[in-house]
Amino acid sequence: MPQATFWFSSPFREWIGRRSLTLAWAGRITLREVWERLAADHPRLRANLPREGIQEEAMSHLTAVIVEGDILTLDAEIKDGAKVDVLTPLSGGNRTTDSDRDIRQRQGHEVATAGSDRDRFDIAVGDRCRRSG
Amino acid sequence: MRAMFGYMGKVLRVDLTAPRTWDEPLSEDLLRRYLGGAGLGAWYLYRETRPDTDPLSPDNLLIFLTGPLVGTKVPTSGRHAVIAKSPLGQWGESDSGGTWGQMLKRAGYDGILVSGASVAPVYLWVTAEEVAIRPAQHLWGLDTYDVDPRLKAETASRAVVLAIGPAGERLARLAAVMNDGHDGRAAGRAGLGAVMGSKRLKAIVVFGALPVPIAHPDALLHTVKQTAPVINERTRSRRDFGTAGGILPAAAIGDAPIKNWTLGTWDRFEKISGQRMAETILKGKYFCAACTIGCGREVEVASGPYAPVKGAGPEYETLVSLGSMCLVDDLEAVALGNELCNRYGLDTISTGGAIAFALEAFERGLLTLADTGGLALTWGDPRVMLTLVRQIGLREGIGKLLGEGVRAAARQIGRGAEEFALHVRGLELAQHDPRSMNSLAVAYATYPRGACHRGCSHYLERHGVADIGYAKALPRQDPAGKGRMVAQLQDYAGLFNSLKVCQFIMPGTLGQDLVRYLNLTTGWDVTLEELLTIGERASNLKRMYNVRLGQSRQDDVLPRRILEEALPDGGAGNYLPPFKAMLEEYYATRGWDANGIPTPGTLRRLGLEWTIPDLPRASSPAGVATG
Repeated sequence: MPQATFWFSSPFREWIGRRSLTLAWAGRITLREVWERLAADHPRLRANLPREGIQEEAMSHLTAVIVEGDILTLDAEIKDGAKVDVLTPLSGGNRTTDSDRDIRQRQGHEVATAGSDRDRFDIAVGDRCRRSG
Repeated sequence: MRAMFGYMGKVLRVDLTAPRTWDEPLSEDLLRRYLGGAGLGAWYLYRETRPDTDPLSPDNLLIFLTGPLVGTKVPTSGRHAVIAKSPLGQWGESDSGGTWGQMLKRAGYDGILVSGASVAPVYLWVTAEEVAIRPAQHLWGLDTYDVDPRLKAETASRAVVLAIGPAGERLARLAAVMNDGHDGRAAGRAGLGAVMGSKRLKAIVVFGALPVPIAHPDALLHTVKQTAPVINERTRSRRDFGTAGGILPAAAIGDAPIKNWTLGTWDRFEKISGQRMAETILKGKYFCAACTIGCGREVEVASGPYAPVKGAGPEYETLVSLGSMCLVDDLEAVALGNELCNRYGLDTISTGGAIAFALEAFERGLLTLADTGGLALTWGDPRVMLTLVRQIGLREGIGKLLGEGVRAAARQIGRGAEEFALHVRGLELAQHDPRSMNSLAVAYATYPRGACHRGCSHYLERHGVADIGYAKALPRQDPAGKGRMVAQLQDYAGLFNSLKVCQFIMPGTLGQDLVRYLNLTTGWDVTLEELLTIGERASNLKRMYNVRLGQSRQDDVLPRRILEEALPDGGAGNYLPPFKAMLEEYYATRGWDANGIPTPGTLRRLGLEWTIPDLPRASSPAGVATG
């Protein structure tokens, strides 16, 4: 049965509860399916996924999954024996779609980032905004 | 007369030679064409300096500008630009966050333009009621952390200080313009701290409480409440780990340089990562004015060989430049190096580049113990790195030479040192490798201030920006479409630099969001197409500034190491960027000729016909310049 080793940087290692794990599968598996399996097994990871779910653009702002220097898309197939690094994202990208309009419909909602500090939407203009970490 | 919204409607003029100060009104027509920040700064600098202006003479104009969104609740809109002819010889631009820009606007000014030079050190005190040029002899020589409380004691406890340190006073070409004291915000690049030092202007202290007039305040607030949550969610990693959270993925794809750009892998990146910082020395997060992201780090090293460190922590660029570039894997040492750079007022990117250059020069025998005062410049030694930071900041020993930047240092050392002095237009490369993400090759080569990673935001190539006409991600090592993409993204990033909004909101922002912010603030009816044209206008005016100096395609070059020395291991994967094809696509997209000169038609289309007399008389295609 094919398998691959996944190495997690923080915060994923806290969400999954371990630094690395080996995942086995039958047939073929994509990165999307890996995320689905991990999310099913690890509630803290599930709670921290983008509200859009496991969707390409949203996930790219959460993580960079890299094998031998290549950043994987969700449809990329994980190869047998691969060593997969699950890391924080590169320095950000740009919104590309209007799907975010859905998010905006929830006006004034609290920005929930469970598992880390919850940064309340509170812009104090005119004063230095300091919040402890 | 119609009320002006989004602006305070005037700039402060300061002639340090006279000395005198006066207010100068801003016209709304001018602002609609250039917005503010770097765009408006290009208009002033082009008109008020000459091709033969010595950057460190009283003839240079030192410009500080905010933008129309500064002082509003638009997320991250608290930035300011610093602009002058760079001591590197061409267009000079840098920008900074913190709270200084917002406070300047609340003092009633959209910007400050400083000409002339003082005979003795002075500082500027600016409020809505008072503008004063005050003696600063007693402050000359103080670092930027120490001068901050001194100036607040002399002015107002809630004032905000922008200042240079010893590096700027001593005219180091690596000198930054710092603000907000221990918070360590920096307009780091292009040596503008030296321009300020040449004017003997130690600091500008501002305080104000005026409201910024907003055309539609309720609608703007509503829009901000809609957009900020998206921004916050999309920038979560920056909040948790700072820009240093990008170190591990950058290392994995070969984007983060190692040992002066000679290695593809280094097994110590985790030791200097944002994650490690969060586990060890991180004490808090810093938010610039109106920021909802909080990428700034506050760190403390209370004991050990590199204590004490307290205040602003190192960002990605600093961790790589003082860390992997020098093979230093001690996070606390890099944190101290960062604080020293902040205190001396040094650009951490260029300082790390200069140190890595010196380490390689010593390794090759081009620098000896006689040159370094007996200090063996060995890779990976934190104390060597810190000693060189101090020597550069104070311009002592070998630091006097390195403080000129790697281009000048290599010329003086000679014997082939230019081969490993990595710069474009004299500006040391930012800590991102074009051999990993090839669009950087064109971005570095063409940006008017030199090798700049902020002029294009190359990470956008992984995502696209749908509503500016660049719809889909482009593979990072495929050259197709990259020249066009860089031109588009330079114009787009330029908008952020003119509005003075942080580019870090890009993950949660569409071009149309900028339109909404701007129109609700100013009462204008600008379209996205018009806004992008403003960005393109600014890009071309900066280019024309350099063209007027005699620059052309021959200056749009990259170091040979980047173009010809592949890294066999690591995420770059033995790849070299096909520079020529991408550059030519870039020129074609821009409407420039084969020599990289804007055509008269392009300049007319952008309303820059007044620069046409400055075009070279015969612009002919040049050979392919690659080194």
